[in-house]
Amino acid sequence: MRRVLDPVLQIVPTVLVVSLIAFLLTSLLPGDAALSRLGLDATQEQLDTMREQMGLNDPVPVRYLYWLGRAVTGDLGNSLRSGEPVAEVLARRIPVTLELAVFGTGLALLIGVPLGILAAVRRDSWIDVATNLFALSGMAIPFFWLGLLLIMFFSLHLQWLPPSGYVPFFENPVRNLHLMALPSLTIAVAFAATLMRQTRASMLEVLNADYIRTAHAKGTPPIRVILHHALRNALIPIITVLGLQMGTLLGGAIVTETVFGLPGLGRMMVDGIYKRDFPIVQGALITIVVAIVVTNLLTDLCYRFVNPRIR
Amino acid sequence: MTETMFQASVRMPVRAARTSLLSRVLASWQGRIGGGIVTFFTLMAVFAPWITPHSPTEVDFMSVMVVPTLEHPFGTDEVGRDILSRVILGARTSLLVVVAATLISSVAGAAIGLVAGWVGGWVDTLVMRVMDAMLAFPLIVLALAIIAVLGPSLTNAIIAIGIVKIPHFARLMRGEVLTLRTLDYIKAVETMGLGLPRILLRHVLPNAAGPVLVYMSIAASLALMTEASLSFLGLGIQPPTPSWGGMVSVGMQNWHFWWMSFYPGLAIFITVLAFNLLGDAIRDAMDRRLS
Repeated sequence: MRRVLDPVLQIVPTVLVVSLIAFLLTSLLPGDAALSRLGLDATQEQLDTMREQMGLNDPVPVRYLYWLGRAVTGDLGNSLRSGEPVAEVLARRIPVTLELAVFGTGLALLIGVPLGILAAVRRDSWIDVATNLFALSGMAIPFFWLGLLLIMFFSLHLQWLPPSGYVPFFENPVRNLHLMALPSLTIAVAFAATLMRQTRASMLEVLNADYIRTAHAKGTPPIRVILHHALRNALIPIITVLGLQMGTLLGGAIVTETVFGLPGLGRMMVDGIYKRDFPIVQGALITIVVAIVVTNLLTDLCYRFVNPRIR
Repeated sequence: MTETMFQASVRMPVRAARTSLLSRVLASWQGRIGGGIVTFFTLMAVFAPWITPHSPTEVDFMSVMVVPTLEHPFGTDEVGRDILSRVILGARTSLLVVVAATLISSVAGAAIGLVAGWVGGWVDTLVMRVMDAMLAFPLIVLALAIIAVLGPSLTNAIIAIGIVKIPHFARLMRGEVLTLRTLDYIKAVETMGLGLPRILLRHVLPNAAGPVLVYMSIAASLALMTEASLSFLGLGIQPPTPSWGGMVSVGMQNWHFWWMSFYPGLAIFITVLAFNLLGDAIRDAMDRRLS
């Protein structure tokens, strides 16, 4: 029980500090929230009443505690522009980014792990050199530029896939997958590069172990030795990288959503900044960071269960 | 005769051990390629105003969105400006952001790590909690949040990118300081009763600086990428100042004219790649020297 409880309790202070940073950043936003709610023709009296109502006259620590209390119950305030509850906007935006993240991670695993195994098994061959070049490029290519290149090639040149737009999965699954293919590939490449490097490194470590030589000596088929004996033990660092890279993945999703016109969390945050709509920025910010902290926690738990040697 | 031979054979390893970090970095292909491109990029940025083939700001409505030719090797943009010239001048903007932001994060991060690691106790716990929380944000997300407060501009992009990398340097420095504290010569200067600033600046800092310097190359590549992403989103460098990310963003609105976004994007890709290669080479060279 302690094995599960300890890491869970450990993230509580992190989440609190994260929420404090998010609150402070957005409560420092220049511009008067009451003024932007009422418009420029509001009288001084109306403004004063609104400020009082919105609690803008309270000291910052009090405002933080009120805000935190409401946030815990799922009330993140209303958009300053449309008046819509931030929670409702989030409910619409989260599935888009979630789908992008899941497809991106899946593709990255499909590309990165096999290439990493191949590079480790055929060490110093041309495959190793080629995959290393792929990894170096994958980590240096800007998400937005890769996305554009993919659009130019697959949408404009070959005309296979639509360049941008979004349709919810449950409305039209085929169209949804068509539209998500290029964005998923865009965020998958950098992730695949990191996974590939990690897979190669941990496979190389395991492949030199005695029990692998024993397995070979027993006459076990090489494929079985690699996949069954070696990969299983090499998986633990790979899982760790998978969890730790969630931040990079979501950061990439923000930029990628802009390239492909996807209405996700990243677009929500960027549009919120343009429109100076701070509850929207706050909502998107908190959601992204809490998602990352929770993913790290799940990775940590996974790690503890996959590897019984760790207590 | 025998004596000189003996001396020579003794001197050899001594000289080998003294080989400078630079020559070790340049011994690897990563170091040569990465270092070469970074040098090229720096020279291009410094001499930009004198080497652009055309004026990077001159509008020419007679040659709008021209396909790359000998006259305009990278083509022209939506108001007829030469893209090659703008890419060259864009290097200047990028270099400024990279150098300034990396200086902010390394100096502030090292100072925070130095104090937190040395003082320890609740100060250390509190400071590192805040650093850990900052690390939970993806770079671009925290940078965007800071830009949301400060507003988009060149200076604010530098400040935002500088701030988001502080925790990485702070953690690195703190780790070094914790190791150093246990060493005898640091204990000795403490016993000698030297003043705290003197101990930290004269004895601890120089011995902890190595890993921080190595990390600066990686930090530079991340700073470049973050600046490009911010400018691409329209929240970094503001037009008319040319920035690679901003140029890709304009090109995206005209994606049938591929050269408008292709060349600035290629410039970002190659420069980030070069900083990464150089970082790898420096890390390996330091590792070998330590072992």
